[in-house]
Amino acid sequence: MSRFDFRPSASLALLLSLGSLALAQDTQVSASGAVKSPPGDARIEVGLSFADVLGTSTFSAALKQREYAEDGSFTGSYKVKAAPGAGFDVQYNVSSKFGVRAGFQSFSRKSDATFEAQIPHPFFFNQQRKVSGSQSGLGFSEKAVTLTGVYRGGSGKWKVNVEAGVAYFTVNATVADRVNFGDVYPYDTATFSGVASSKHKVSPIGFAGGLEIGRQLSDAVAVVAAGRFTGGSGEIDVSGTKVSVKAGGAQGRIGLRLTLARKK
Amino acid sequence: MTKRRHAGLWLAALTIGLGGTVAGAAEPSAKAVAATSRAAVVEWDQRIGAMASRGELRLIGTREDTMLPGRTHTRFAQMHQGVPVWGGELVRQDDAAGTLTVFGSVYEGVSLDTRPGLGENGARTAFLKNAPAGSTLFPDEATLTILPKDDGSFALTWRARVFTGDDILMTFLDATSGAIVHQYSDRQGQAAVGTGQGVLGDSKKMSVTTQGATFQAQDSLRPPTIYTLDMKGNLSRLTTIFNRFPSAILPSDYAADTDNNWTDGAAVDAHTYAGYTYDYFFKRFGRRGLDNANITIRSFVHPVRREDVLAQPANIQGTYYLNAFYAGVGVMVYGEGLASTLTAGGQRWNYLAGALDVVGHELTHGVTDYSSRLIYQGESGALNEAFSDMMGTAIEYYYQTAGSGSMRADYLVGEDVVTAAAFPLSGLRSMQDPTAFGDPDHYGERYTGTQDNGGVHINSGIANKAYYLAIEGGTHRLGGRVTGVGVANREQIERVFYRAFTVFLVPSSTFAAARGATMQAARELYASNPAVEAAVAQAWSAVGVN
Repeated sequence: MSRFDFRPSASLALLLSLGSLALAQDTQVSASGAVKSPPGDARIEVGLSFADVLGTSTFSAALKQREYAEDGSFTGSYKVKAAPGAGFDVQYNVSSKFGVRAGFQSFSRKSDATFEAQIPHPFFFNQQRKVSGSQSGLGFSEKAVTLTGVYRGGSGKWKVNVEAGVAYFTVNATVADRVNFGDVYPYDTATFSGVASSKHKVSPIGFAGGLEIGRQLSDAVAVVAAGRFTGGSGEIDVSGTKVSVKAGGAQGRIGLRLTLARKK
Repeated sequence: MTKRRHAGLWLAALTIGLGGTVAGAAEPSAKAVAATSRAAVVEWDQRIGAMASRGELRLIGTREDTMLPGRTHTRFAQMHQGVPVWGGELVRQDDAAGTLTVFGSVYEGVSLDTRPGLGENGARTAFLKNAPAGSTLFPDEATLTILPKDDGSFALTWRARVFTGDDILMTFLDATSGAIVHQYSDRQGQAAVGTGQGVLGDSKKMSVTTQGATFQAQDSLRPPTIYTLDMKGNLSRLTTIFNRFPSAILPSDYAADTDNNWTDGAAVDAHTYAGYTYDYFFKRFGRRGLDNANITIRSFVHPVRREDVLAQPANIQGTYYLNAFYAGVGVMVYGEGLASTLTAGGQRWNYLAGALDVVGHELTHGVTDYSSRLIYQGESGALNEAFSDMMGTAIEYYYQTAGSGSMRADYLVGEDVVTAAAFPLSGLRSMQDPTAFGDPDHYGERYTGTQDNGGVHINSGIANKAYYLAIEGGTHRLGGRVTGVGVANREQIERVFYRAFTVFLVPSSTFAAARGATMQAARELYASNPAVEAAVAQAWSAVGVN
């Protein structure tokens, strides 16, 4: 049997709106400060977190670009930047030591890219012109559903959760399909003028793992900080060329963990 | 390769220069209308009514929507005092319930007087006066039009499409002075690059233009338009065009291809090599085409049919089979050559357009025509021919690897398309050893007869040998040692001879004048490097020109 004992205050509501993550507790503190009898072990917990991808990731795409009746080429080197995001999970505790957690995370990242292109000459074969440039702010959004096993530890008000499992990503990456360029007679040089890009979606399966440390604020609410790592890679099809992209990375998280139901 | 001029074409040359074009201007700004919200639609619906009542809009017509039944699209032209404003137009979409959208462009602040100083007949005369000879108005009318200008002002103009024979020019004339205010090509097409196989089977790129589903040999990527026309063996068609040049040119006269993978080697080479030659003069000397003002270049191929050669009189064989010539006003004609089973002069003759130095040679005649205008007779004629040989060879060295054999740069002229058979040598002339083809390499042995316009293709060997020695150096067979600038510095001699022949020489210049001119050019261009002038002086001395 479980009971629902979460009553968020105004400040908590604000925190929730920020998307925080909390750790379950097994000591309940009343509003008056008097210690009640220990509640039962948390059965269902909900985590809400503000997250930040801490590092950058890179990928590159080497593509053909046909111009002036000849194949040219260009390579785009993409650096996907750190970005804030949000996480949400529901954890079911099988026992006092183990639980399973289903989570969702979303990051709207941006990538900066540099391009090196070989653009064919309009009048001559094999006289390709080098063109280079960069483009910033290309979209790279990633969402992931994770399913992890959780080892629950800690002492007193301090709780430690260690999780590991699988992640199912959905990545929408904006990738250049071609390099735009300008050239004028006699066309022996060309200048970079941007890229034409399109969104490409890939859904790789990867992994997720993390360490979460929390401190109970009440028997229903804990504030937590976590280090998490998710990873996965997949291939997107850009103009017929397979381009490998990575998803995930190291994350830092802070938030709340809410206990929704306890065992008696 | 003789340089022949067609009388009809020269007449055209006198008048073609009058037809200047005004560079296309950017679109003037207009108030863009895109009313899709209810409020905007209501506002524009009311404005359309008000403008129409004031005579500022004129109904063009209403059409049923073929995609969404029940809808209609009504177009209105913007007017000012009964005169249309160029580009001002609104289109209103309606259904049974009323107006759905309004799109278009409207110019505001139009206030000029719409009474033209020039009547319609005067305008028609002015259009043709400003156009190349033989042009017609297309369609046969002139329309008073208010032209929005780049600076935000408006001009009262007469507008007409002028058909020049190879282009349709939308032309706006000042309604008072008759001067061209604005003009652009209204011939719908788009630059494209295709591939082609040349006469010798080599692959190259073709700069062409799409015209509907076909590709035409019209190079729009280079500053001058470069056309290649295919006469399809119809010599009378070529004659017709020359007699009414260029107005007689029809779209069907252009070399064309359906898949942009061109297989007519003569058309491919005439077209691409004309572009290469333009590029060479631009990159080496900064020259913008034959007249240094980007005159249109037109190359004619297949003036006759190979299979008819034995039935043709000698003058036709000599002109249109075994010859290529510059005809003036940027026009080249390339001979058809002979079937591989036939020879002439003990040599096999392929399509004349298939040799880069031949194309460069002919186009250089155009450069001469617009610079020194060396008279095509006697010594000046020999210098004229020699300069074309020099530049043709220089172009070969610019694009091809030095060596012997097909498509290699050397000092033979035309060797890629005129090849050895019973006669043991390929080519028409040798700059290295003119005597190998029976031409003199020394002024003391010059031809003084009357054939060949006084030996213009014969005595050219003297100047050609001097050019060769100035680069390569060596000892003339009759004595005279030359320290050339060396092959790595051949550009120096190219620049010296180009400058001398285009800047200093006059129509009646002699070999001696050419010596003085080239030495002066060497002094001016390479003041700090006297070896260049020395090489030039030694080279002329070695061939007996002092």
